[in-house]
Amino acid sequence: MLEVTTLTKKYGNVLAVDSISFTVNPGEIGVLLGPNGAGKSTTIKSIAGLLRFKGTISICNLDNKSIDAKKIFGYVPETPALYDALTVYEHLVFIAKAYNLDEGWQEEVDRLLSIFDLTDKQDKVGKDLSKGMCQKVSLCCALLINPKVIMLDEPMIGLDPKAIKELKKILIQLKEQGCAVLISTHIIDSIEGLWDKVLILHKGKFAAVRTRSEVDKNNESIEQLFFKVTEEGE
Amino acid sequence: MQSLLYIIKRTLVNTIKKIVKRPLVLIGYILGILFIVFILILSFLDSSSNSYGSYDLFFSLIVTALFIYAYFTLKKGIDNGSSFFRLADVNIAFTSPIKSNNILVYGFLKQLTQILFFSVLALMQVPNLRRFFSISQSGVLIILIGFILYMLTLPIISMIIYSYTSKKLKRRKVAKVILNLLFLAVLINVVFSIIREQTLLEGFTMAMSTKFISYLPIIGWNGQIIAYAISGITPSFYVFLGLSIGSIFLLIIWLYRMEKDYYEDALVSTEFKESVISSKAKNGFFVIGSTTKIKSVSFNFTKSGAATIFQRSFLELRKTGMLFFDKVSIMIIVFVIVVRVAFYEGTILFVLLISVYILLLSSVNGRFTQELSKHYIYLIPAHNTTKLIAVTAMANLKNLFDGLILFIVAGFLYKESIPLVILCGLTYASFGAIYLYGEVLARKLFGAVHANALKVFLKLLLTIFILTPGIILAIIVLINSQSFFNTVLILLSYNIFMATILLLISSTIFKYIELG
Ligand SMILES: Nc1ncnc2c1ncn2[C@@H]1O[C@H](COP(=O)(O)OP(=O)(O)OP(=O)(O)O)[C@@H](O)[C@H]1O
Ligand SMILES: [Mg+2]
Repeated sequence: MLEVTTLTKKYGNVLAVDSISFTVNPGEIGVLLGPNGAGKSTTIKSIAGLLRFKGTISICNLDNKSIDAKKIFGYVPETPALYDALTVYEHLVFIAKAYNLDEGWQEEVDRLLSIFDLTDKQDKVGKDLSKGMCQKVSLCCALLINPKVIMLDEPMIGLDPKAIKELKKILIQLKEQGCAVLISTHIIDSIEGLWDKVLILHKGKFAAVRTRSEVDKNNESIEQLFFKVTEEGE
Repeated sequence: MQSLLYIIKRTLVNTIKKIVKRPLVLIGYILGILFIVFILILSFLDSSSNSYGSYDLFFSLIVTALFIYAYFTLKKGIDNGSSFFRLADVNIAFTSPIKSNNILVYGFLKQLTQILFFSVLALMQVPNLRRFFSISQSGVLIILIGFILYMLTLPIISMIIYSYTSKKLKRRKVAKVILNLLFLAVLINVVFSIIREQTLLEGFTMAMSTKFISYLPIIGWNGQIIAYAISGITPSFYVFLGLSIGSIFLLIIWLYRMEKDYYEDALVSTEFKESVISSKAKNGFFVIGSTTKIKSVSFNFTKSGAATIFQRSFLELRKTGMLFFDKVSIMIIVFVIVVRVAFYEGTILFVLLISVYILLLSSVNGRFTQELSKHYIYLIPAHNTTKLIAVTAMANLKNLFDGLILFIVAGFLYKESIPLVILCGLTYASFGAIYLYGEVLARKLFGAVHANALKVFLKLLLTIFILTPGIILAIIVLINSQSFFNTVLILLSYNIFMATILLLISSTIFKYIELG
């Protein structure tokens, strides 16, 4: 479970995220939706423990910066950054060691590599990968640890249609296993039929929060809602 | 920790594997390593040493170098932080359940490889030092130890200062003022001492070898360690060694205690570093830092084609408020005055020779490497040579400007004629052009990463095969004609010829080089 309470983040004088609170329950897929510069990446980086912030963030009731919390969350950054001289396979070995994964991770590595068509590329080094391939490796790294909470910042960008389909399938599997998933995106269509809770972020604040059932009940369209709340007062 | 060591190990293995696959690059590295070994053997074997210089003078010179290095490192540290990390570390290692102090140690280990590179540069200066000071074989080792310890200490101090100042803009400003004042105080003290003593060297030595400076933490201690190179090891050497190593440990503990949460600082400075690395514009001037203020200026593009590149770099210069007259120019003026006072019998030719040597060691390339990492330059429909000229125009102009300043001051001090002054300024710039196009050529042959790694070695090749013939030619003219004007004229003509050839060969860089 992911719990964020009154998260505030300032970069110097720029207020990027302004006192937002939300939770993503186990088995739920939450979507952070918002225009460019809304504060999505800032929120996710704060959860991943890369930024200093005001407020509290807990991951399965653990402080997000604690070692125990780090063991159970996965993070897929906006722009994948890999080690130039490490091969695809070595990246995953590193993750397995760093997270002290249980025996049997090798099979999981093989499974993930084959899902994302990386098996024949596993000996290529980070510098020689295409953008989409980097993104796939980045995803594999986050998925390998079998996370209880996973944050994905614009994960579909650069992926081919097959990888997108596989990723969606994996997200649904994670959800079924009781993982709390948080995805950020500004492409509404990309998460159609996937989400349980949509959080529309605008200028660092939530402009609207809806659960799947609320939307179904009122027959709302997310797209219309998005434009309505993000264009207000402009 | 084990998992982090795994990264270092695999990176090393894979890098070597890749190098082995490219014959040209492999040959470059093999020659480079042989060259380092050669230098090492040379510095250890050659036991002929002179003893003009006193212990105090040696200590003063070393401490001055340490001060200057500290000033620039700390200043850069306040502005952009100093990061041991790459973006991959931030995204992958920082979010993993590895203790943040282990990650810090890992960053520290990676730093060692860079220090190795600088150590080679330092070693290359040993033969020069030997000409003035009596340095024993074990002295070379002592210099290295002191140097490496110092190189390890500064980044930590820099990180401590950064993590303290990065929280508030005001702290940053105050820190900069304090830093400037401290170093100004040292400088003023030296100037006064020189005035008091009436001679440059003695005044300088008096000011820099005081008890106060000798016992100054870090700078004084490491200075003392290095100075044992000429006085020989006594028991007190180990005291300073202990102090220096101890302070590194204490500083690491301090850094860790004060900032368990250094990830954000590391993130910001890593992003900046990453942009610098990707453009390979290390140590360049005109590089826009993460805290550089950008002004809005009204500007019209009046040129078309490749010349717009030059106009654009000019616009960037105005926006960032960076001027041609910068710290480098000030240092140059100070330098020429120092040379004049230190070597009474020197001539303007002597100034030219030393300044060109320093230019070779510093090689400010700045802008053009950044330009090559963006795709626009490749797409602009213009001739390759014109494009390369446009891209490097700014750097050449800067060299010309510095050269003219340098020799106007020198001409004044040595009472030389205006034509000779101008000629010398042009010659200074022509050396700069050769270094510049030599570097472009190296990038074309080896690619940016390897050209950077092989820098020291490539510079040596450039010196031997391209610069030396011109200098020999000039010496012959000097002996025969006894005229400085003719000598410099020959040197300039030769350099222009060489620079043009290098320019023409390397301009095909736009045809073959790979972006990114
Ligand atoms: N390092 C930084 N320094 C200063 N301001 C920043 C920094 N990073 C982000 N910002 C500002 O914070 C705000 C939120 O940025 P953020 O990256 O979180 O947006 P985003 O929702 O992820 O946008 P996008 O869809 O473009 O990825 C923006 O106004 C941005 O300008
Ligand atoms: Mg973003």
